[in-house]
Amino acid sequence: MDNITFDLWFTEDGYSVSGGDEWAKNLHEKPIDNLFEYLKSSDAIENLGLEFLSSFAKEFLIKVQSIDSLLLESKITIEINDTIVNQILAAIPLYPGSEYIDKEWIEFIWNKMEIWCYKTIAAFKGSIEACLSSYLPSFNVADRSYFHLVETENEQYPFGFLTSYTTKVNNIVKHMPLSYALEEFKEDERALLHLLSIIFKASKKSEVLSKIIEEGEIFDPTYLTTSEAYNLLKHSSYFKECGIGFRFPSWWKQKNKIHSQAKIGDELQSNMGMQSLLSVSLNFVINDELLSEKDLLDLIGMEEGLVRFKNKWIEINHKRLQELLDQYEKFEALYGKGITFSQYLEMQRKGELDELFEDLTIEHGQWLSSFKNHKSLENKQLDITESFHGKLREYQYDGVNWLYNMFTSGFGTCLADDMGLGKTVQILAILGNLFENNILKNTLLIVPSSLIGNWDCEREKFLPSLPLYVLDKSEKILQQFDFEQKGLYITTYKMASLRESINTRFWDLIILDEAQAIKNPSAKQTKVIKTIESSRRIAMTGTPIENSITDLWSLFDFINPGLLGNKTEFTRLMKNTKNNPQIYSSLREVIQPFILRRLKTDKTIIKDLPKKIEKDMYVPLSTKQVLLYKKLVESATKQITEEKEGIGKNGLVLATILKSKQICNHPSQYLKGDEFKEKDSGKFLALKQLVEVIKDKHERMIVFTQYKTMIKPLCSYLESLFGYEGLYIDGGVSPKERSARVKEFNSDKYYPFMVITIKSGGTGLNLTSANHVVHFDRWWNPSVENQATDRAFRIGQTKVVNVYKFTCKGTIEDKINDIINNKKALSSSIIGKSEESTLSWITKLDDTKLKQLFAYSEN
Amino acid sequence: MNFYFENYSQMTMEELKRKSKQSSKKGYNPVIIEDRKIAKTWWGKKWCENLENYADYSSRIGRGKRYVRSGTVIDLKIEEGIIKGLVQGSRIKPYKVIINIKPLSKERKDEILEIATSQIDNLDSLMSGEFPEELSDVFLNPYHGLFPSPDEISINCNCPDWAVMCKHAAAVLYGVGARLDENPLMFFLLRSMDFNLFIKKSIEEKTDLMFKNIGANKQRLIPEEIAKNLFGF
Repeated sequence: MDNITFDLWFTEDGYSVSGGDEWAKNLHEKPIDNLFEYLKSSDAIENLGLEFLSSFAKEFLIKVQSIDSLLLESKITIEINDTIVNQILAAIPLYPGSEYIDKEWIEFIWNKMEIWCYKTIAAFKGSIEACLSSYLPSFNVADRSYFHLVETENEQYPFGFLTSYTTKVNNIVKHMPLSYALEEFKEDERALLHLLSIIFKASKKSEVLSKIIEEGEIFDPTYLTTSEAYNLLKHSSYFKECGIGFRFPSWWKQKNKIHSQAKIGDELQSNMGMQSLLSVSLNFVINDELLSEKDLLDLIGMEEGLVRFKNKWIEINHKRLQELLDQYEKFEALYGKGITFSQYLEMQRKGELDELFEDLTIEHGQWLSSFKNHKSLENKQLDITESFHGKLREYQYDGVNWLYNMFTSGFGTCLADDMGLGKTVQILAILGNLFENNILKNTLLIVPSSLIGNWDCEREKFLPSLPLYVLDKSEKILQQFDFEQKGLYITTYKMASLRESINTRFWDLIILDEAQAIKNPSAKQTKVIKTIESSRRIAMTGTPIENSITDLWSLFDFINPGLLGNKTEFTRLMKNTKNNPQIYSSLREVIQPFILRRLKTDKTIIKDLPKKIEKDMYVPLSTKQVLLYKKLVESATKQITEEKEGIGKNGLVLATILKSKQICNHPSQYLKGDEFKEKDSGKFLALKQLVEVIKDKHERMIVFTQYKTMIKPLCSYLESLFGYEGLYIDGGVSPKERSARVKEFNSDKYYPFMVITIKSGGTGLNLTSANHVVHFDRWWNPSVENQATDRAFRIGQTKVVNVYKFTCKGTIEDKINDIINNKKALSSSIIGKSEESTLSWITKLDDTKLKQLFAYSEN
Repeated sequence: MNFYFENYSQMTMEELKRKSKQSSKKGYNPVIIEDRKIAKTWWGKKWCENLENYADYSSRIGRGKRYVRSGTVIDLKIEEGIIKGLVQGSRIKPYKVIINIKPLSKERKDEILEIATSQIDNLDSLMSGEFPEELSDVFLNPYHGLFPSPDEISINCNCPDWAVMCKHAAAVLYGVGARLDENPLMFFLLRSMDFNLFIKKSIEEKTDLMFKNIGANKQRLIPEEIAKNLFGF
């Protein structure tokens, strides 16, 4: 195995691997087989995902090892239980795709491992033990001896003891008394020696067991006194070490013994965000029942050993009881009055709560557990204001309710719903309420420049009464600006970090859209944005924020500073995850209440969701595009007014439309240049926003363009964004090659994108491996666009398809799009097959209307 | 002999390997050393240390190691009291090494039997290929140990070297060390001891102990009907 870098990410039904050498390819093709092969090899690869999978596979083998009948039965069943599931869940790393891992995912993989196990054992010539020990060196099938300790109804001898071994009787695995072994192994002295040696070894430490052997009681069921039973129970872990299965009553299990239990957060006093006080109460518990003070004193007065208490056996161990009492006093002194929310979260994050006192279990109180489950804090059911002109889906309403409650309780939040679930709408709905109730006066919304147009459109549509101010001017002009006006102030990340009149002001609320923009904590922009003062903060992002430790830290440093500690402290803590994967679960407990992330794949969401989500992306022009556009329009309108009606004029109009569309795509397309700089095109920047999310989720996209000349620039730009090669199809690709590329695109190998000219690939192709479709430029004909979209949105598609239609704001693209969207006003006959016939109505417009159509409108 | 010596020193490990490969035949049981170390277990290592006591010329030891690593021991058979090896040397035909080991005296056998059977789990470990370190005395004790002393071992090789332990014999003895690594029970075979006797004796002792008082505590015995209910089988 070389250290050739590979990408591994979890998917809905397992995991995928891309890149790397032969070994990584094999891992991708046969994930389960090769995961176990990896366990066999001594090489350790530094990869959090792989470490998680390895420990999962080890859990599986450990479970196999514990099966009684393993040595004898060829058909075994390997069942997963909740303890194992929880153990695995607790160790999920912060890693790409980890959001898919839930109970169902684990059970699904377990099932695959089970199949692998049967197959592997069947193919192996030799014992099961030998077969599986190569995967897990410590693999050691429990030997066939068992001790059984039970309660009896005999007063003198309240316990019964029996030694058994498992063997096949009439082809069924059975427990038999030890005496039977002398008969069975008469001819096989080595087997007998093995059986006996284990029992003798076990007797080395337990005087009661050696007495049982010496007095000839080992072969038959025997009555025991309470103190004899206690002696055996106390040696239970040693017996296990010797290879004996020990079955004892469940009250002896650790969790059923006396221990202390702290209940935190039955209630929260005051709504001061992180400074609010959580209630704490400490109790002693046995067998899930609370002990009173009197109970405890009674117990202390009893003699050591096993005693009957409230009709159950319990262990009296004075040393332990004393320790528990000491714990109680210490705990009472430290936390009896309650702890602040931030103190609690810090202890939780550092795993201190669990280590605080031995045998202390932590229970979440009523308030805390509902908080952790994103339930409304005081269960306020929010009335959405009438000024909000939209209809929220159920989950969107829940989201708004949650945002509102978190806001009023004083917590910063992160709305991290999957792409296409309508984060903007939810934010607008809560803004509607907060503004109407005069809770908010001024709110700063920071977005990537390519999204300003979108926000404006959505606000117009859903919350037209909310004034919106775009802050994109020079510092000098901004200083004259009246910031006292009530409303939503929108600006870009760049402006927010540069303009002092924005970043030195106090805001009621700051919202970051595409908040992954601040994921790099040491970037200057991030630092400045985090210094902007405000009473509340909300972050929006569609990327899985749990992919990386630093990203997560940086985001929380914005929404709830201090919650995850400072960066050095946090990094240090996360370094220990290798030895202590439980850190992940503590961390999740801490962050989860503040993040709301619903996936399109969630069962509760999907029923509420259309299978296809279309979105108009209103993209701003770059400075260069604006200049070129204005120049073109100026000379064209002049020519058009001079030209008389006729074919020449029609040609002129159509040529101008064509040229303006080229400028909207990229100045270099219009100027026939070679270099396609990202910053010169608003559409390129918008594409980048999309790719960030798609890349993090390892999904695939199709990009349709009308122009063959755009194929190459788009391909190389997308390749640079994804870091992976993609594919393309245009008129120059032979039919044979086309189908080869389609096949490749749909294969397991990760090709993140395919660029297609709409003429060559708008129909016929089946590209269901992609669930994102971008119409980079517009065909003006919805049915042609829909047909193209249907390359991905068709039978075989398992995901919700996102469609993005790029339109440059204020340009002819925008205006024609408006007209077509309102096509009720027009006769449907204007929409023709070819672009020319579709646009022929334009050539019939009079000069004034044409002028209006071409003119670039800034806002 | 000077000529012999020079001729020897010109044989590189690669040449030895190549030659040994050519001479290997079906049915041979060659010693293959894959790791840097000849023996990995503590008892295998002790054997290798001990065999140096047999050397009359210490220079043969290093050469023997080199030989066994080069795969020149193309056949090695360990039988009761005798080791037979074929070693590829500089000439075409491999050299024959025969090593005879005297059986232990009855008294010494009994002593070893006594020690080995005192702990039943030690025997169990031995059978699964582990030599418990608690039993190291069984080997190393100069009076009743399993390692043959120099006068209990006789070494023969048909090579022209005048040293009793020539490099071929040394290579064979190192090969034995590697074999013992895998199966410590071969020690007993080498000294003509029947390991099954150990097992028999040990089981007898233990079962005697277990049976001696069987049924003595009648009132503590759970009657069958009750037991069935309590234990469920």
